[in-house]
Amino acid sequence: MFNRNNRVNVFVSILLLALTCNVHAQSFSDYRPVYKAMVQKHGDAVVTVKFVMAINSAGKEQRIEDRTQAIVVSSDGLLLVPDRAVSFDFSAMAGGKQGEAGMVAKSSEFRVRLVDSEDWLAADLVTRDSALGLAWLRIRNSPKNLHFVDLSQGGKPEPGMEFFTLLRTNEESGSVPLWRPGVIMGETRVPKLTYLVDGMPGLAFDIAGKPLGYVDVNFSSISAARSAMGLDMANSTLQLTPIDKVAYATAQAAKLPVAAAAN
Amino acid sequence: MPLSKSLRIFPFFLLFSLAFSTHLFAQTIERSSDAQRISKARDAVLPVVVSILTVRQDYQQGEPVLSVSSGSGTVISAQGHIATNAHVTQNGKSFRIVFFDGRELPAKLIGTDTASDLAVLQVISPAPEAFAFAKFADNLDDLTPGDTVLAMGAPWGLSNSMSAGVVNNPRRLLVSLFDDEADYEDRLGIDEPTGRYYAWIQHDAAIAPGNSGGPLVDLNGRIVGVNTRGMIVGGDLAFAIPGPDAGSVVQRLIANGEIRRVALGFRLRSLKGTRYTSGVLINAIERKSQADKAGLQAGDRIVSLNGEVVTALQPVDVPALQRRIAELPIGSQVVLKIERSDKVIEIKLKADAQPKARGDDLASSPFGISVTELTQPMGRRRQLDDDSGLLITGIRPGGAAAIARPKLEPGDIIRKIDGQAVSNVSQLSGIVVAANSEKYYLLDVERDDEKIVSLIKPESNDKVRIPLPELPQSWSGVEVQAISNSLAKDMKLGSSGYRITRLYPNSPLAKAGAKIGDLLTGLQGEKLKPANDSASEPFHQAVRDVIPETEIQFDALRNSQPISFKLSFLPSPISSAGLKTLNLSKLRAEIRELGFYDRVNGHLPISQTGVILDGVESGGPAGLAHLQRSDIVIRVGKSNVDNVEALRKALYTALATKSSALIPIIVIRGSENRVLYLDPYWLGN
Repeated sequence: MFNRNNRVNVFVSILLLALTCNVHAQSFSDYRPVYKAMVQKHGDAVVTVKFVMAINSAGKEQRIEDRTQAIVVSSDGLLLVPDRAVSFDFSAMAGGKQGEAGMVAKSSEFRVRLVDSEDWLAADLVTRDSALGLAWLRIRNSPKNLHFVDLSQGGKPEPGMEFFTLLRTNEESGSVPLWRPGVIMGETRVPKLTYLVDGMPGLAFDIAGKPLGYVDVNFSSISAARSAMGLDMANSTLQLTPIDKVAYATAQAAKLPVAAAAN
Repeated sequence: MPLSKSLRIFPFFLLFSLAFSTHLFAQTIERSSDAQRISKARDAVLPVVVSILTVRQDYQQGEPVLSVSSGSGTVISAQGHIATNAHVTQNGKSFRIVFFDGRELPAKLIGTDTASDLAVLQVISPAPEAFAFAKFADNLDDLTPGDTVLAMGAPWGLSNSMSAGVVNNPRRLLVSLFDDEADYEDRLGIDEPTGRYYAWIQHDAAIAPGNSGGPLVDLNGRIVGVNTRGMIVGGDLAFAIPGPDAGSVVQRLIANGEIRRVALGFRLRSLKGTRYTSGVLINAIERKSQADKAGLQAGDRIVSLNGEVVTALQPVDVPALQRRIAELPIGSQVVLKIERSDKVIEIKLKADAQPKARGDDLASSPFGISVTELTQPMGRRRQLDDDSGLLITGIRPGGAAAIARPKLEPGDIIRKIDGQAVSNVSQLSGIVVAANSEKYYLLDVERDDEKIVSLIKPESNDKVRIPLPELPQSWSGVEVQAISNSLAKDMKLGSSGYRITRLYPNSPLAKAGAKIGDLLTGLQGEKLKPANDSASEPFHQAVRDVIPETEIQFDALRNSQPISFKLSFLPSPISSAGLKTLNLSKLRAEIRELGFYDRVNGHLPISQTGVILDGVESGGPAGLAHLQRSDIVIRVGKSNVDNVEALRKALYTALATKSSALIPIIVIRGSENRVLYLDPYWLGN
C-alpha cells in the first residue's frame, strides 16, 4: 500500500523536481525562429485530452475529471498519451510488484479537442506500455488527414543536447501552443536506456524539429530515491525515453483495434 | 468501547462506602433500591427496543450511492409500529428491524416528520402477530436534574445496549450563554430545520451513533425521551426529544402518515434582556409571507394569540409557542394582539399550510446530474424570485452535464428544458426516458442571479468498463534477489547476479528446470550485474528488452556449479488493470476476471476458475451479503461461475426462480471456501 512515508517522500521529491525544472540555464540568445518553425511544423499535432479517472476505494467509486496533453501520431487519429493518465498503480509507485492486484486508478471517457475545433471528440483506449509509461488512444470517427508527428523520423538524443517540449494550454487560456526548452543532463542504462533531463513532460523535439523522445516523470524512481533532508537531487530528474523505443511501441499499437468494452 | 456511566459510578460508590463505614448500611439499602428500580425499568422497556438497519440512498457526484446505517427504535403498538428518528429513516430505500431476541423482519415507512426529527416504521410480519410494546410518558412535570435515566439502543450498531446517567436539564435549548437566541433556528439545518418545536432533555447517559431513535427511560419505566443528538467530543452530553412531544407526533404519523402545520411567516424571540414581563417578540418577518402582507414588523410584541395571553420570558419558552402556532388549524383566521410603540394593535392573518421544506431527489444518468426539487422555503433561503425549478446537487465527472456548453455546476437551478418548464423530478424523468442521445437539449439555467442557457447532449445509461490492455512484454516467470559483486564476494558465491527467490508455476524458467536458489549470472552471453543489493528491476528490464518468444540462454550457478537454461520468454501475464471488469449494478459490486497473479498470490491452482470482487458498495446487495473486496466467487445459486458473464447469468437465473429463498454464494476467502447468502429482497425481488 501507499503509506504516509512514501507520500511524504514523493511530495518532497516532486517539490525538488519542480525546483530543478526552474534553474535551466539558457544557451540560446534568441529562440524566436525555433519557436516559429516548431509550432508551424508540429503545433497542430499537440492536443488536449479530457478523461475521467476512477478509483474504487472502500467499495465506492471515486471519479475525478482530469486532462492531459496528447500527440497525434497518425493521420487517422492515433494519439500518444502518458500511461499515468490512463492507469495509475499506487502499489507499484510504493514499490509493489508489477502485475499484482493493488489500488489502480483507471481512466475512461476520453475526449479530445483538436486544434481549431470546439468539439470534444470521443476517443477509445488502444493499448498501453506500462514499462515505457505510454498509452495510445484512437479518436472515434476521426477526421481524415490530421496533422501528426512522424515518430519514425526521430533524432538521436545525447547528453548535453537542448530539446524542446511542445504543449498546448487549455481552452480557458486560449488553446495556444507553447514550448519549453530542456537539457539532457545525463544518460543511464540502469535499469534501461534512459536520458535524465530537466524540462517539461511531453514529446521532446530537437532544434530541427525531429522528435527525440518522450519526457515524463518516473514516479517509482522518485519514490525509490527516498531522499528528504539529505537533498540527494541526482535522481530528482525527469526521464526521456528515446524515440526509437517510442516509435517501435507506437507502430505496434497502430496495428491494434481499440480495447473492447467489458459489457 | 467507552466505559458506561453506570460502571464508572458504582466503583466510586464502593470506595466511598469503605471509607465511611458508618454509612455503609444506609448506602447498601439505597444502592439495592436503585439497582432494583433500574432492573425493573430495563425489563419494562429493553425487550421492545429494536435496532433498525436502513439501506439509504444518497447522492454523490451526480449518482445515487447506497450505504447501510443503523439506528434504534421502540415498538409502540401491538401492530408493530416503531418510533424512531426521522434521520434514521432519511433517504431509506429499505428497512430491517432486529428485535431484542435477535429476530429480524423487514419494515415499511409509515410517516416521517423532519421538523421534529421523528418517524414511524411498521414491521412487516410473515404472520399476524401482536407485538409487545411500550408507551411514551404523558407528562414530564416531575422530571428534574439529577434523576437517573437509562439510554437504550444500539450504539455503533451494538444491539441491546443500555447505559445510565442523570438528567442534566429537562428543558434545554441548544443556545449557550454566548449565543444569540435569534440565531438558533439558523443552525438547525439549511433545508430541514429540526428541533423548532420543543426543548430537549439534556442528560449524560452515554450514547453514540446508532442510539438515535432509541428510548430514554426513567426509573419508573416510562419513556421520557427519544435520544436524538449527542456530543462525542467534550463529554457525555446527550439530547433527547421529550417523550410527550414524541408521543403526540408519532400518534399523528400513524393516523395520517404526515404532520401538517401552519406557517405565519415570522420568527419569535423571548423577552430575555428586555423590560417586558409578558408577551413574545417578533424577531424576523419573511418577505411576502402572510405576516408581511398583514403588516407585522420585526420588533412587534405579541401579547395575545386568538384571545389567549402568550408569554416567553426565556429562550427555552419559545419552542412551545412555535409549536402552538404551527398547530393552529390550516386555513383558519388568526387574531394577534401586538404592541408597537406603546400602542396595542389587532392584526388578522390567514394560517397558511407550511410548505414542504425540501423537495424530492433524483439522479439522471443520461444528463449526469442529481437534482432536488426546489420548494418555497428553499427558494426563500436562496433569495430566488421564482421557487419552481430543479436545483442541481451533484455533477457526474465526465458526464453529459460536465461537458455541456457551458458545463453545469452544483447549485445551478434548471428552470426549463427545451422551453418546457420543469419543477418536479417526474418531469425530468419523463424527459430522460424520451431522451435521444443524438439530440441536444437547451437548458434555461439560473446561476448566481444570472439566467444562462446551456446545450447538453444526454448519454447512454451503460457504465462502460474497458480493460486496460498492454503491449506484450517478455516474462521469465521468476522473482529475484540482487546479489552485487561485493555481496557475492562476502557470501563466497563465485559471481554476482540475480538469485531466484520465487518461481511462478508453468513459467519459462520453471519449465527450463530452474530452481529457487539458482543464481542467474548472464543473459545471452552478457553478464547480469546488479547495481546494488536491493534493485531487482534491472533483471526484469533486461528480460523485457528481449522480444517475446525469442530463444535465449541464461547462464547460472547452482551450488557454485555452472548451469544454463535455454528457453523462450512468454508474454507477461495480464496485470489486474488489463482484465475484464464488470460493474454489476444489480449487486452494486465491481467484478473482475480472475488473473494469473490472483491465483498465484492466493495460493490457488492455475486452473482455478471464478471471478474476483474488485469493489463492494457497503449498502448494496453484495455488501449486505457480507461479500468483500478480493473474495473469489466460484458459485452462485446452483451455477458455477468461471467468468464475469457467467456470474451475471447465474445471478439472473437464481432471481428468475421467483423464490424468496436465500441465494447461496460460495466464495474463496483466504484459505477457506465460505458460503454467504444473498436475499432476493435486497435486489428488489
